Amino acid sequence: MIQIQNVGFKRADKTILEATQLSLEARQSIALIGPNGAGKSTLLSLMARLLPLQTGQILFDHLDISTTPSQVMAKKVGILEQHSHFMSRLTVQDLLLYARYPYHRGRPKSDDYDVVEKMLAYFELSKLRATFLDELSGGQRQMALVAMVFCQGTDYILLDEPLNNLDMYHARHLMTTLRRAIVDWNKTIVIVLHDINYASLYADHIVALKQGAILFQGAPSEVLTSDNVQALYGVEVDIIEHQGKRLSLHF
Amino acid sequence: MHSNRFQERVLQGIFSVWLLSSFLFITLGLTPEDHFFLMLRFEKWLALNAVGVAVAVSTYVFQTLTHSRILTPSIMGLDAIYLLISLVLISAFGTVQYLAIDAMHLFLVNNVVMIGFALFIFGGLILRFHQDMNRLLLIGIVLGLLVQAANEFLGRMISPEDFVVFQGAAFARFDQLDRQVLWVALVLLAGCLCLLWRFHSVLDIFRLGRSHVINLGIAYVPMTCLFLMLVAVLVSISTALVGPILFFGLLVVALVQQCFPAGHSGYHLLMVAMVGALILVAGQTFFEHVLAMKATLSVVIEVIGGSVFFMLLVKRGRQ
Repeated sequence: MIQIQNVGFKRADKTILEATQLSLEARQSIALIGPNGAGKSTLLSLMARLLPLQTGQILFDHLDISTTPSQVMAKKVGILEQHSHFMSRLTVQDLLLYARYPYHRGRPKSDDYDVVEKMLAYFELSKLRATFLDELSGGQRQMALVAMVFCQGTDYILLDEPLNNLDMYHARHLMTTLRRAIVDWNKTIVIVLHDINYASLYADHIVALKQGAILFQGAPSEVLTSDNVQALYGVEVDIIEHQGKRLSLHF
Repeated sequence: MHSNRFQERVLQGIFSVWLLSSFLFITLGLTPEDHFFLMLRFEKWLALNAVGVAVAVSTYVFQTLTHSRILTPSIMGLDAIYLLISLVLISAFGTVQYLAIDAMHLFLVNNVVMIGFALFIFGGLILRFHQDMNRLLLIGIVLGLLVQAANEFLGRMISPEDFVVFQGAAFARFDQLDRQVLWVALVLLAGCLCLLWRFHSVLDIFRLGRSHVINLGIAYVPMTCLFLMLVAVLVSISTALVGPILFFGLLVVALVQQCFPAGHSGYHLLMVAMVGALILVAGQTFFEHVLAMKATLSVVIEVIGGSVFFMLLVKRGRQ
């Protein structure tokens, strides 16, 4: 369970996130949606300790992120940011092995290699293990980065816009793999999405942010109404039902 | 693509060439009876190696911390700060008292002040501008110019006699090495290298970027401070031994990274240390014994290193 209590964030007197209360059940996928600049990435960075907490508390299964040792949190919560720029030229396998750092602290043991092997297979990257990241296509690279977070073996996984620049095939492949991982390994995934149709199809819970505050939250079938979506993005949309899922037509 | 075995071979190859040039450097033109000169050369050889290793390794670590292939401690003016300390001391106490200070005490005081500077200025800059590499780069280069300008300014303020003393402190002087300083420097260097080796897998994670460091449970701020302190001590060592060398570190690290972009930090550290030592020892042997020119090596290194710096700026300015 993720508890966010009274967490706000200001940068140079500009409020990016207003004091937010949020309580999220574990073992599900939670989609953060909202227009650009709504504070989604800020919230995710705060949860991942990448930004210092200015007010309030964040707890993962009662572990307070500001008092729990960083080494312990690294086995509890993992994040994939939008942009990664590495100084080293790495193979897929190197990258995944680095993600085991909280366990091996620089000396990989056989179970670290086992986890890497398992994740390579799970994300269909086994054939690419010795390929350098700069030789991969955008979609393959993104899969490798997501596999890296999974290698970290955390219960909670935070993904910041992982579908950016992915084509239809890779976006769908990534989302179905994530769904499968929630069932297979009891993961809790918090994912920032821009396409609300992906949120509707693949998320169990949606949290909508606008101007640093939560506008609405709930199951996709309840909260994705055309009024809500219009209030969120300021765009008129038609919501249609297709095989029990809501889809928005916003083109 | 280079396999691990290939990487090892190259390291062995460089090691052999280094051994050979070391042998030549110490013995060329001397017979085993020339104990005095052999000892002199041996000390000079130690100093050359210490400088090569310290400059190359500090540059590698510093670039990892700033996540930039262009910034180096000397471009950000860290070794110029070392000279600034001497200048301030000379202008504050006068030459007589400055010269009365024991060389080793001076070296240790400089070390402490350098660590302070590195932590407060570079630590502050890195922690504050980690998201804005371009700004960090710009601030770094301007800061380097500023410190050099301050040096020049203070240099003009003091009397010509004092300035001569300062120049003695400021420029390469392999011929009048202070023995005590050399040995203390070697001990410090060994300590720094051991610590760095102990944490080389942390450097690997630093090369992934700040968010990965935090995400993987490494204490980002304390580790950054530790690495910066090591960089400061390494720069003090090389500056105390030969004075500032602007582009040498950049040259070595760029060379190694160009040839082995895929290496891990452990390998990179070994490699830059070996290449740094090799270039200085082999270069000095060549210029001193083959061409019989004493002071040209640093000039050649600066010209080549400066061109590499320029190329990196043009090519990778955005990284």
